[in-house]
Amino acid sequence: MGEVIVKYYNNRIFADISLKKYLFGFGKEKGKVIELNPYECFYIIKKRKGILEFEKRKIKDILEIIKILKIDLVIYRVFEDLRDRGYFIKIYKNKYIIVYEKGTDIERYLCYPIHERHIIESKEINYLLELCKKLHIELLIAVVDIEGDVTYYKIKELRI
Amino acid sequence: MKGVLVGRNVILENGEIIDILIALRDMKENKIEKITIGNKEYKYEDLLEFLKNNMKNIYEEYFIFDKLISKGYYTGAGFKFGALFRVYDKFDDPNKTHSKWILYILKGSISAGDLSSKIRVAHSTKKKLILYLDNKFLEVSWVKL
Repeated sequence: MGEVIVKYYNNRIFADISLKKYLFGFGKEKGKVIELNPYECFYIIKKRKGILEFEKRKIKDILEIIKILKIDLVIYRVFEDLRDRGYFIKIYKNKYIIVYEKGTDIERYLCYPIHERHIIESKEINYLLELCKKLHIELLIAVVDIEGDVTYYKIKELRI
Repeated sequence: MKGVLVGRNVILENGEIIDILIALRDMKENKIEKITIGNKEYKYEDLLEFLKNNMKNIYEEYFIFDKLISKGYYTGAGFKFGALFRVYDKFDDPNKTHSKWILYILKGSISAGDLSSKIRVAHSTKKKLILYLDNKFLEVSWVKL
């Protein structure tokens, strides 16, 4: 494997299609390139020790890449944890993660990543439950603790 | 039968002392006719109206308590689990089985840490957690992915 280079240009992120087998199944094919979202890009760069090409510079520094891609580290930690566990996932509305049934293209959960110090407002829960109802999937809260471990909780409405 | 409300206890004519929640259920089932608060006697519907305007916490507790029991879920004190109620599965006999859920009311917000500790209490006692929020009963459980 040569260098994995991902390019950030005009707010879009691309990798050459020749790198497809190194991209963990992420992205959408568009002709000769695969388009990625920021979290997919960051995951690939981290795991493959890759490079981000931005404004004609080749960047390896993780902190700079985080700033350029505007990565929320709580969301990323959950994204990484789920992918490392073998789940196919996608970012939804830039703050949630859709989790698919393992080995299928069936959506199973809407995952809401939060830090252990986060205060969950009741209106947040109401909003998320409505969203899950609309998407016909279940709600998962993913809590990232200060050691980076992720704990998952499912919330479902009981029919009493 | 009549009773007098003192704090959240109802002292009945026969000397028995019961919690207001139990007394309200007994009123609904016509076992208690009236409860006195101060100088005034209240029948069931009027007492609910009084509680709604003057003792909102108790009103909300009773709303939940009554809804669960009416649907066949025996509901008891949740104190030993640090919860509002313990709830048995539908039509289960509390003398023969353990409760299935512990219930808390979610008001305004909850910290992730607080949520975690409530779930831990439920899980360690082989129960599940219910958070009551805006007329919804939300079952919250730890998931191993």
